[in-house]
Amino acid sequence: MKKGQIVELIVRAQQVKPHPLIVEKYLDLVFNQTILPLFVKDPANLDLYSKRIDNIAVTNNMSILPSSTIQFIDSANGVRQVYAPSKKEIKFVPLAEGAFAVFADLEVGQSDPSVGYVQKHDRVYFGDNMPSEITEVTMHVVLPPSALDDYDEFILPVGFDEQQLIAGFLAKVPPEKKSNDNSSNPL
Amino acid sequence: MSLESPKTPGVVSLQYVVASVLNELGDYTQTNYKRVLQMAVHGFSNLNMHALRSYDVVYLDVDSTTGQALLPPDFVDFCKVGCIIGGKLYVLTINREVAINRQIENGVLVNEAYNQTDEITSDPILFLPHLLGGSYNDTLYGLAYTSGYSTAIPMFNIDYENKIIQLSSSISTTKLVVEYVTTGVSLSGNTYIPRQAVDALTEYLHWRIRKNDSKYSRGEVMDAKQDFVEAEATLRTFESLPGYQEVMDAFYSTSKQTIKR
Repeated sequence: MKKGQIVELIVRAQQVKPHPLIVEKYLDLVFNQTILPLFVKDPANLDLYSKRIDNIAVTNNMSILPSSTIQFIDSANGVRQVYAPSKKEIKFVPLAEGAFAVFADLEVGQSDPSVGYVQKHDRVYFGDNMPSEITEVTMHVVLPPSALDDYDEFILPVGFDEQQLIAGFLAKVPPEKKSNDNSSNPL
Repeated sequence: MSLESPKTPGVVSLQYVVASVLNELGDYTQTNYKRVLQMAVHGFSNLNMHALRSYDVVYLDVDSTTGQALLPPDFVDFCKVGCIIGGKLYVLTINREVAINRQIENGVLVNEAYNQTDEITSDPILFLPHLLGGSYNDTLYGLAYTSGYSTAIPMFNIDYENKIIQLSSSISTTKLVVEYVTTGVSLSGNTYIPRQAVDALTEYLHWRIRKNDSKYSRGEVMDAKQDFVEAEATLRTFESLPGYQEVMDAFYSTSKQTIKR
């Protein structure tokens, strides 16, 4: 289903209509909650939920993502896969930042051509052995729903009652104020 | 086997073994790739020293001032050391008492004055076949020596820490031929390992991964270690058993055609 359709469905299901952006933010929270057990079960099983982004520029061993990503409990975080279409033989591997210093003292840091990367918020930093001829990379990233376009496909993990989770969040949200009367009353 | 329909290769890369282990673990995230690759480097170096015994031959330039030559980075220990004098290769003897040349601050060298007067015999000591300047050299042998020989043949000592081979006296050569045990791990390119070592290295990696992961019980770690010990023993047996041709050579060397009855 498209993300816009899901948001519309949720808005319509509520008696007091929330603003779609509020729904998207709660959708982010629900997505965070529901995708983590899936990740713990199998960290590689995120293909369905990741979005491929092509032609991400690499400048000074650094790339800027279109938005922050979902957080996971491994060093790859939301950037699940990176490759350079112009140099596909180079392997990109996620690393903890401290690992660069450790590997520099070991054989693997001197002989292995694979490039380590670290994600920090909306930036991805590459290791010093990044080939200079690589100026663009393709990434598979897991984005929060609010960072997706309305027409992007969006899938919530199965096995959860997302409607209820979202409705539970939304029950605490006051409805959007539409009267312009300077009153502190939100309705 | 024909080249048209090749089977699996006889040697594989370290990356192949790492990928194979990650595949067995079902880990397709690449987050552990470099970590396991470093373990593989360590494990393969160990196998080379204890089970595989990989050898290599290198030609070294001798510094005539200090009587020293720099050993290659993958040097673990020597097998044979020879020097070329008058177009002949003479095999040198280890002498742990030879002082390692140290250059002190004012530039004065500390050198042991020693002249070997042993005579060379005709008994050849064969070096391993190796490539020399692009040509295959499979018949390089050095001469041993006995007493009575007047030419100064030095002895040598090895400074393992600084990777230096030290000669006990100056020689009229600039080349040493050193046959040595190598770590087998190349830092400048791919490291290729023999197929028979794959199982032992795979089990080594499973053991080390479990040993450093608190979610495995002590029993599971010990199980993995036992698997490695057995795989290493299998590899050692494979490496030390004579091949079919070697057995037949030994058999034919002692048998002869006689009248059957």
